[in-house]
Amino acid sequence: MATLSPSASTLTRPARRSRSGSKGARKYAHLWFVLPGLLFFLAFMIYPALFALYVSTTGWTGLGNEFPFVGLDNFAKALTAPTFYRAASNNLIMFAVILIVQHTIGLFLAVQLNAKPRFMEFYRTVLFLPVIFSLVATGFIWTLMLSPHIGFINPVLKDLGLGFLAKNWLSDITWALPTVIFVQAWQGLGWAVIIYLSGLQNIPEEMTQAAEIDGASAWQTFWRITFPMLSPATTALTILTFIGTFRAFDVVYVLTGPIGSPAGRTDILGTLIYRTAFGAAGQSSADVRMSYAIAMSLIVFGGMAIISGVMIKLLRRREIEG
Amino acid sequence: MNQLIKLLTIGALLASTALPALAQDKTVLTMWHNHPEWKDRVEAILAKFEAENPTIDVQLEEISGPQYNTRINTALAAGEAPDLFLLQPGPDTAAAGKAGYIVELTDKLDVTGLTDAATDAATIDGKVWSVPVLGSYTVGLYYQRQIFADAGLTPPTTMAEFHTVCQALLDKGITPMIAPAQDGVIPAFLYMLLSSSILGAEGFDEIRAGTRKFTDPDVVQAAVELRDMYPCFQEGSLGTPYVEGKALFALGQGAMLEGGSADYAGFTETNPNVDLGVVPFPAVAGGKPSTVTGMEGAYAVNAGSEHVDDAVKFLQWMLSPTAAQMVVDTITLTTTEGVLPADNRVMSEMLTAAQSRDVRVFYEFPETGQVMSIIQANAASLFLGEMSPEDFSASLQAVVAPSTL
Amino acid sequence: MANVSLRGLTKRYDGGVVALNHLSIDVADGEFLVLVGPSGCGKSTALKMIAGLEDASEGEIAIGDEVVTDLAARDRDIAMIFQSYALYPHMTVFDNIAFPLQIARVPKAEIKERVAKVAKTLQLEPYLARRPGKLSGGQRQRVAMGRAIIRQPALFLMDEPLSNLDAKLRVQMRSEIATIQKRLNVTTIYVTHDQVEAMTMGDRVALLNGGVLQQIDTPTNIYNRPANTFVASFIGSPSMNLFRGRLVRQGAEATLHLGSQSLAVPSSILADAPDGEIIIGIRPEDLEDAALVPNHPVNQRLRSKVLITESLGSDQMVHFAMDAPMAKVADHDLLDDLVVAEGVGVCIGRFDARSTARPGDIVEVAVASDRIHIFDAATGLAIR
Repeated sequence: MATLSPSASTLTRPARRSRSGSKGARKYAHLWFVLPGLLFFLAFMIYPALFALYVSTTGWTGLGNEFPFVGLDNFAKALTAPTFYRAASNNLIMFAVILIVQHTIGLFLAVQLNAKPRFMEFYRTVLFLPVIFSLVATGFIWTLMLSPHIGFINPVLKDLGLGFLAKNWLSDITWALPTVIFVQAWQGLGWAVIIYLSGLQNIPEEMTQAAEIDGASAWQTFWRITFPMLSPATTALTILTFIGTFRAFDVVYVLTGPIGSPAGRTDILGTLIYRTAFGAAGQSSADVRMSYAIAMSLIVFGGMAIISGVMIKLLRRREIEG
Repeated sequence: MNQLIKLLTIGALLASTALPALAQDKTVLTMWHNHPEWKDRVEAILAKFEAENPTIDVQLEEISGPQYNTRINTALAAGEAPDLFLLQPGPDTAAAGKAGYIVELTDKLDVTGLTDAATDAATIDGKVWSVPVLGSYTVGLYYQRQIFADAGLTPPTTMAEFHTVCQALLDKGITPMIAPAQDGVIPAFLYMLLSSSILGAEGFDEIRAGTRKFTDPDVVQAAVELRDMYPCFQEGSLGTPYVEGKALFALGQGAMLEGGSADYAGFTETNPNVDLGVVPFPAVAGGKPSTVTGMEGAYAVNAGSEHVDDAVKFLQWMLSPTAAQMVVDTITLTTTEGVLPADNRVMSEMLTAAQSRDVRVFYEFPETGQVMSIIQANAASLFLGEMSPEDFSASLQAVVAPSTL
Repeated sequence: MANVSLRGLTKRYDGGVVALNHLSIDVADGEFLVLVGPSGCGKSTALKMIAGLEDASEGEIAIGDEVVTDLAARDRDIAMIFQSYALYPHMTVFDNIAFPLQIARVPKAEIKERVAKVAKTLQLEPYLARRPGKLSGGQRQRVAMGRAIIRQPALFLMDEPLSNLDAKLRVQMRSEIATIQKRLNVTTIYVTHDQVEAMTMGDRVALLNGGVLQQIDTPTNIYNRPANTFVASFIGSPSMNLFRGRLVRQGAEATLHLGSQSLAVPSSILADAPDGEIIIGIRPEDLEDAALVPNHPVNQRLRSKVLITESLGSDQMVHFAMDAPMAKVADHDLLDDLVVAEGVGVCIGRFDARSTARPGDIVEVAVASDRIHIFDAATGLAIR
């Protein structure tokens, strides 16, 4: 409390005369209300974060209580490991593709829904459903559908006369990453639709009516009025997509396993860090390097924080002030 | 009045039967391991133990494969681990012993009945920290007896024969081999089998000692053979998850599978009519058909347990011929010397297979602990021709940490 | 520049609600027409239909010589000012005003010139680079005006453009809009619920109620010759006093009986009114404290008890009791509170400030009998 009071006091209003209680008690009374939350935050966020920072400078394997100090070796190792950059670039590709999908298909679907078609609730539910599915279940269902042995996607393509499109989706080095990204995009599309739809519903009807009267076509109205007014939604979605794709793990892990099969083509930061921390197979944890994994995740965290910050700053610029 | 007497008599009778159970403090031993698929079989063994030791109640919790290491490591760090738990022999057990998490069993447990490999796995620097009481697995080549019979083929003994068989099956439209390579575990075993064919147990010891290397030209041949097997795998093998691959094989979707003795229970579970045979894995030219053997985890006693003596008693019982016989007949090969399967042809075949050339799995040794994960990571590149056998072998050798012994 | 003609314009919604019922109006070229009425009367619906933002269920709209009923809003050559102004928040004032020209692909130089001119007219020059979020209400209103006038459309539509401004600014903008409209001489249809705007701004006023046109005329005529009790009570503040009474004629003499009292009225204002039940309408300004007009004929006076007085400085509103039943006007919320608890009718007179009438006093009220309005007791229509 003692260390908190001075900085927090700037937030309080000038003390007014009160009938009871000392001036100080009144002034800082509100701090007692944030105390439980603060303690929770310290115990479950700050302490683990600081501990992680400490562990990342040691050679801790994850088992036992030996923490040999290694300085920044783990960070240096991560930043010079080709697998780290391969994983990061796969995340980047995933981000770029999903971003485009959400800002095109997602926006398009939101605009369609905003026109309040018949069965709108039904469409909206169907589109949002994948979002609330368990990620593991989503991945598992797609694994089953895409399997060249038991899946139905390839047989259906063949039945439709599109046999040339049938692929070994998850094992072909060309198609594995696009397939994984597709599933991830499918899973998150509902977010884009809902965020854009709420953005659209926040635009007063009179805005588009005014533009129409001013002579704008539907296309011009959309691009010159509606889309710019959706910029808060665009910003939110872009940031959420960035964070979402760079912390992706579950779906990819279930679809292509712990080592980013085939041949690392679908290896992303999530799977790389996971298998470094916990091992790639149940047989042995001899390859577990917890402190190294923590160092990698701290690099990712730092990078994401900086990039998100820059992105928010840039994107906010095109938003409306006031 | 009569009624009351009757009631009291019945009450006294009931009390007399219930009292011993109440009076005797029943010890509850908690135990974790990572084989949910063995649940019924292990429970049967525990029931037998509890019947012979009515004062002890062993409560087993199974945690499925990938989460197990995380769970047990966390529980150990938090001081909430069970009385008994499975640890991987080798580096993990050594670390746990060093950290003081587990009880040293050297003078508490009689391990003289263990097989040599099991004794080796149980001992670190002359001290016993854990025992592999739920058997060991030997990995060889499973084949579908009916498919081979129908095709007029016999199981291959050399890689040359393997490719002949492979081609013959391909010509018939049959998938020669199921190799679920998604997580790289199966390719890692294939490499261990192929290199063991060349190295043998002595050669592997030399690798551990640093006097031989995976990059030696004759050992590189193992990587060449591994690469050349790839066309014999099922479609989309690089994307096939382990469980799907095992199920495909159990359902007869392929003629051969590299697999361990412990897998057989799962095959029969999936398909009770499965008709399999086992042979050692085909020999690389100049080598011998081989198998590799690992421990189904070794069981350690929690240093924080309040029932160390009862836990030791349980482990000692598990080493007895009674328990070992149940393990080999219902689950996998036993680690107790001289106990043979009474009624399990496939286990018998596996034992026979292991007589050709059996080598311990690499990852149970500190020197080669990291080799498996490198095979996992690089095997697909080897298959796809993105990495030469030489580079592949070099990548494995790079993580070998030869012991200074 | 164009005249506007509405023919039988009707809007029916799903569920049978009729928002607008056969509205027919001709607006002359350059005319400022005010559509006025209580909320829900259909005036905004009518405006949106003229704008092309809502489809007509029935009827026809012509602007100039062209029937535009089926044309899209953007093809009607109109400009509209919305109640909310509907300024584009992400554009500067310049871009907001220039928007219609940009859409029409007018050359950049010309846009610049025209925006500058409009900005000068509306005194917006210092604000051109700002966004609407940084402007005051009055400035936003002007930007909306600027966006409307820059295109020199055939028709201005204004939907309660002043209702978001404070009272003082409203008075100022009222005259500005009227001035600009007169200078540009663009036909204008202006929707409001505010009778002051209606009376002060319009060349003509069209009063709507329940989707039906009640009366369309000049403000003076609407005030002086209301077509029915609704118009009579809607226009004018305080509202016209409406009571049920009885007309009795005796030769050239006519007497109106209001409860227990009676008033002599000149037969000239009675026209064809039949004897018997009628509705009598008296504007507050036609009532005066008789003490201040000593020469007022005795038989044109009412005698009543003062309930409340409200001084406005220049004059005072005196509420006094009447024992005649009040005529209530359907669908008009403004009149609902005029019945006091005891069931006594209340009449309001606008007395001169010098009147000494105080609550509780019994006063003599002089009635300007020649300015009394007579309405049919059943239909509420004016009898002239």
